[in-house]
Amino acid sequence: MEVVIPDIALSLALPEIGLAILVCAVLILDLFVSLENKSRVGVVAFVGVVILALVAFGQWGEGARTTFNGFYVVDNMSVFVKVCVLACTAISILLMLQYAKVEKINYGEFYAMLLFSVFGMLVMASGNDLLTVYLGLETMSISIYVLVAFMRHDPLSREAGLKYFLMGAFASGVLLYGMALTYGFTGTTSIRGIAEAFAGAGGGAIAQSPVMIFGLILLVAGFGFKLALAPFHMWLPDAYTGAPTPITGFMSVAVKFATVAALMRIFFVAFPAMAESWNTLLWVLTAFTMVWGNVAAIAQTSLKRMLAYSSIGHAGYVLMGVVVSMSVIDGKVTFSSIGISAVAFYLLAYLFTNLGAFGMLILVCRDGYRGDNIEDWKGIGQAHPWAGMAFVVFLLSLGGIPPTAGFVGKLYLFAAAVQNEYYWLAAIGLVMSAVSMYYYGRIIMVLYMENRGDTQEVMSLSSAPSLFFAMVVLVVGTLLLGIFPGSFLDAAKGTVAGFI
Amino acid sequence: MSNMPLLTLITFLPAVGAVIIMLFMKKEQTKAIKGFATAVVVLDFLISLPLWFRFDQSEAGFQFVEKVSWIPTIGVSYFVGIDGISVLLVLLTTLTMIIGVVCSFTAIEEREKEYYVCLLLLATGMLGTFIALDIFLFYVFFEITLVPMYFLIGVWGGPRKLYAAIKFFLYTLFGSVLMLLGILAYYFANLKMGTGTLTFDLVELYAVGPKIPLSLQIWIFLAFFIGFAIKVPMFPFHTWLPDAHVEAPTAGSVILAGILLKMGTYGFVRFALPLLPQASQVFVPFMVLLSIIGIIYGALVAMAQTDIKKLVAYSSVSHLGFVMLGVFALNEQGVLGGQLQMINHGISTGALFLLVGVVYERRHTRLISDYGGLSKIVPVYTVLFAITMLSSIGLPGLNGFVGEFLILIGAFKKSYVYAAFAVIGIVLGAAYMLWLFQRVFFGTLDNPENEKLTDCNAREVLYLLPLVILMFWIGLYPKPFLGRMEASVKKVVKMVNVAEAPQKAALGKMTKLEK
Repeated sequence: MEVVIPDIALSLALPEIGLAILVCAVLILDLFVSLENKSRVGVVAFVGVVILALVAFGQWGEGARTTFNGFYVVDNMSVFVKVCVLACTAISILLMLQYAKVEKINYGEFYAMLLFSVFGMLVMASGNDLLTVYLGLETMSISIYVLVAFMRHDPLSREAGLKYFLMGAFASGVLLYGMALTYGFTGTTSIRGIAEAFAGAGGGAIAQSPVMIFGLILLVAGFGFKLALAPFHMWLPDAYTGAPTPITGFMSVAVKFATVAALMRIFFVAFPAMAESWNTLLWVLTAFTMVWGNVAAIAQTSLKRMLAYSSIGHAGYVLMGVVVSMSVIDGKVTFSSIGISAVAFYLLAYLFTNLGAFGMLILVCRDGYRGDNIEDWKGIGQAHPWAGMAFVVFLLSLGGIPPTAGFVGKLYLFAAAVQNEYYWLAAIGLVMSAVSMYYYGRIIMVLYMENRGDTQEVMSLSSAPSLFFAMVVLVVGTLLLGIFPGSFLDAAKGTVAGFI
Repeated sequence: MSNMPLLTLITFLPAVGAVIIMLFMKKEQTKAIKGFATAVVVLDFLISLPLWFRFDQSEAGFQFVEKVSWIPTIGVSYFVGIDGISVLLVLLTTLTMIIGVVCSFTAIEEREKEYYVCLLLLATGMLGTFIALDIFLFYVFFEITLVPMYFLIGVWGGPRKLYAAIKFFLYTLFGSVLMLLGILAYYFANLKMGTGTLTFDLVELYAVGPKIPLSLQIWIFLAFFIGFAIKVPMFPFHTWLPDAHVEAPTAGSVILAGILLKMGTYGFVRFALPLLPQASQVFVPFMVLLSIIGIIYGALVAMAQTDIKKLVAYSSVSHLGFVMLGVFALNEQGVLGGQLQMINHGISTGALFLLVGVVYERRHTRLISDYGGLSKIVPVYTVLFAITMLSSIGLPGLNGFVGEFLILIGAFKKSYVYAAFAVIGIVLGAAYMLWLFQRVFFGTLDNPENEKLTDCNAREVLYLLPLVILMFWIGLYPKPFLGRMEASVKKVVKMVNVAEAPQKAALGKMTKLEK
């Protein structure tokens, strides 16, 4: 028997290989660093991640190339997602350096686990086969379960970790079952291969088969769980509230990036034959998620929980971009580039904005105090004008008010929706973004307009330089994307090349 | 000199001032902050004066145009310019900003630094709204104004400020997001049926209007309508206005009435009419009905008020009903009158809010019943109030008359029924204003607390004086104002009525065939 050794271009997987080496380095380094100096491990991780982001960026614009026998693809979309995930990781590490000290969870393992999850995300972004995607997803998820429960002394964090683990494991199972059914019908796990199977002889019959449709529903539900789309969002408020705050921020952005990238690749590339089915399903989920996330956020009194619900709403917006990418022209399903690039840009805008909002929470953390209650924030705007203004910028961006990143992101999304004639979805999304300003505006109100009682102390802010630097980057990013979005929009547009 | 980006300078000077205050001034230096803010707005007014003198009256198109590509990916450019429709609004804004800053010297006693920063940022937002010729840019400025105004009401407002602030914010935001939907629909309609390019450029889009099918135009018009009607505010979207006016600080009310509301009426003239000509015509009866309800309802509710500021707020609803009636007469006199009435309303209602602020600062009450017989102790104030009130009523010789008269001619040309109903509003307007005047200024001075009331001081007279001069100027010699607007108004009217032409032509053809 002849064994064919596939041609493996290792250079394409350079960011992943580099990351694997970095994780090992961090683990080994951890052994030699004393407990008081664990931040040094974080600094090494930070530097490594920044370098890897640059490496990943170097792969931009070279077209779609596959390796590992077609299991792995590097195209603009995967590069975009990788760079953004790595940037998000770098900022999260900066946020973590201070938070870990305050919460007394300054262990080297933290950074190793974080990098493991990032490794999973990068694999998901490049996964060109259901199995690759699944392996990436599990690497990511299992690492994040640990990270969520990382504050071992805090029962909330442990509970969050356990909940997330049980729900997440179940969701992974559902997703895997969907993939198995797909394999059963098409005889392949390759994403391109599945599309070919649908397009080939008998493909139409497969697409009509109720069991295949069931499999598709399982895929949608599995991704729905991971993205916390309503009604699969139940785990999210607890997990986000209990997790260490930098991890909450990291999850809300990076997990969305990787999962949406994988979702788009699977649904757009492998399942165009069943597009109308999954599109209808996702339409309903999107509408429900936007409404539920934004309406439920109104009732929250804990800031972190409110932001958790708001991120459900934002997952709805991101998914709206996915839904509206599909249009049927002359009975033929096509995916418009504007929808895909809108998703990419929105996620990028969300990276700066949401990390910034969670960064504000980290800024006020002191020994045993987390500023969770919205009422605690009274008078911050006066006592700390710059921090107050930064928070206002993030909140306006979350609400989609110009001149911030969130505005351009939403505008681009709604433009995609209108162009492909999803008027109702756009209307729901727009009205919900007005609703969201109610609770974001309420925070602004607390910051500036409500008077502090005489007994209430003003929160003091952390002065850690790493945190300060991260916040400056986030504010500048949020405003830059809002005022001069040109080149970023071009980059988002570039992700479409070779993707579909 | 002629190549100077004058409009950009005018628009962003206040924002630059705001940043300087933020960065370089300590919050304890209240005198320096006030002085600097005044200097900025006065300078801004001075550099806006060339717009008045160098404006070419015969030119219907845009002047002082600047255009720079901004976000080429989606066809957005920084495109600004003014024509007869916006020139006076820009000048009114720069003038009102001076008044807004000066009238706050004593009224605002806490957190002055943030206050003046908000005022200056608001100025940039409003000026940008009026000069933007790119719909995207317009929308950005339109939305930006919400934020400083939200702060002005919410931080420096009255007892129910939080409620009023969030109501103002959400109400207007709700309208503008739906308008955004309309803008996007238009943007893609242009891609499919118009120029075939992605562009928000208003001048290019003007040519596309008549090509868009009526069914789509109607939907887009509805989206625009909700956005602008809430801002105006037209009946039945007016409920945020009394709350916002009553709770806002004096300068906030003046700016809200004088400028912010005009963004709605301006939006109709600048966007809804020329971009959606057929739909605008279809909606005439509907818009006129709402305007007339607004005129009469606003006047009746104003009559029933016990709070002076609330009365003035409801009178705004009535007056803006007139503006909208004029605009939707869709003829030259009507639109011209509506345009002038926007300016008039800014002047006279702004002055009324200032006058209410003057006594409120002294007595801390705005209830009509707390006053009476004031004419005996504060003669200067009484005279100023009387002139302003008469201007608001529309007495010949003062500005209100010219605008209302033109609007009535326009409405009459459309249908005498419209004019007949509108006249009721004028009568009612005279009634509530004169009754207010009678209760506050005449009668016996029976409240001992009013006896200590001091008359207007020099600063107060100084900031009211320009408005009074304008009332007489527009009332007696409106030609410079009407002359500047006329050419552009004619152009808009022509654009909105262009849609009728093909129908008539088709009709003519048919009759010929029958012969």
